[in-house]
Amino acid sequence: MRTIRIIMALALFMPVVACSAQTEKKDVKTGSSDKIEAYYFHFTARCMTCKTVEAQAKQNIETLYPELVKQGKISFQSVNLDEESSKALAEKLKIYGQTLLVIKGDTQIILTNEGFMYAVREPEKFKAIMKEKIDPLL
Amino acid sequence: MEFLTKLLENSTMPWLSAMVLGFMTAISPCPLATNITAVGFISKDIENRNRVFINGLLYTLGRAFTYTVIALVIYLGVDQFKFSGIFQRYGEKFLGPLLIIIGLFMLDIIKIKFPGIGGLTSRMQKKNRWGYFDVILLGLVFAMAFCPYSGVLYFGMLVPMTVASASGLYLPIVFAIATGIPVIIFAWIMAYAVSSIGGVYNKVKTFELWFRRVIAVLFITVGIYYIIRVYF
Repeated sequence: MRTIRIIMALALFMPVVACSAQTEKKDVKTGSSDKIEAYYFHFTARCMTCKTVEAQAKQNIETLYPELVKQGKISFQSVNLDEESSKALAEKLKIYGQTLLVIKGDTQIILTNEGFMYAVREPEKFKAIMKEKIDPLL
Repeated sequence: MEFLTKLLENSTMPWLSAMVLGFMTAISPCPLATNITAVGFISKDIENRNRVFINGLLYTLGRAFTYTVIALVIYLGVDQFKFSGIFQRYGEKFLGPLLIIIGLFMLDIIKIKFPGIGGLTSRMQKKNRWGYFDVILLGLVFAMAFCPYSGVLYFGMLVPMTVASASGLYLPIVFAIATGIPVIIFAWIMAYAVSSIGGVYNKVKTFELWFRRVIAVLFITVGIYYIIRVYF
């Protein structure tokens, strides 16, 4: 039991170790400022709800703004934060955890909570919220 | 779940929201795995129903401590998104290996002598007190293992509510109690069931030994589950 105790105590310091293992900043460009970009940031390990939020968000954008998607004025992208290639973008947008994000220029709208509340049980409500938040950006 | 979402939506009382968020965390599939291991660990003193109940409370206390400290650190001005990202990124990753190691130690497969930490006799004397400490420690550690879903509930919803004002700092405690209640109830039901059987056969001690082995295997199994989940 004593050993288990020591292991658990060591585990408590994991965040401190992880904290100092952060990477340095890099500069990246996102698209032009008149374009609306939606991102879903996640890690490799994912839950059912998380996948649903992503799928719903993508679908909502495609059905709400089909013309704009075709013209390339609005886009949706899923980004895995565990992959090297995502680091630069995540640093630029200051995203460190699971996030559903819509950006246009300097405007950032985070819809993570809404997604987790409604995507599974009330997809229509989630769609309405997305429309309400994204429409003013158009 | 639907009922809880509705309740959360219409709640104007922060403590009720915190409680609902806690319940949602406790019954969501991913933290369920840690909850099952916690039920096992808490019931290790299965011959004593009261002890199991106290263990459950201490486990919840451990969770409350972690949740409060994290919220406090954010309240004191650490970058919320960066800080929560660390837990979301590494929480599940360290949990799998940790559970397996604890399981192996419980089975006495691995033995390491740590020098300078008391002899056998003093350990026996302190056994009870240290036993309580283990359970608190387990709560502390398990609370840090945020799943993608519970991470959003805690960091996305509870923490903003908590850090909005100093008076909100009690909310993580309410949240922790709600995450702990299902664990306490299950552990207690199990202890109740076992002790009534045990009374008849008077073989509780032998049962307890085997029960601990089962818990150890449970830790290893859940650990493997997390490793597969996260790394493959």
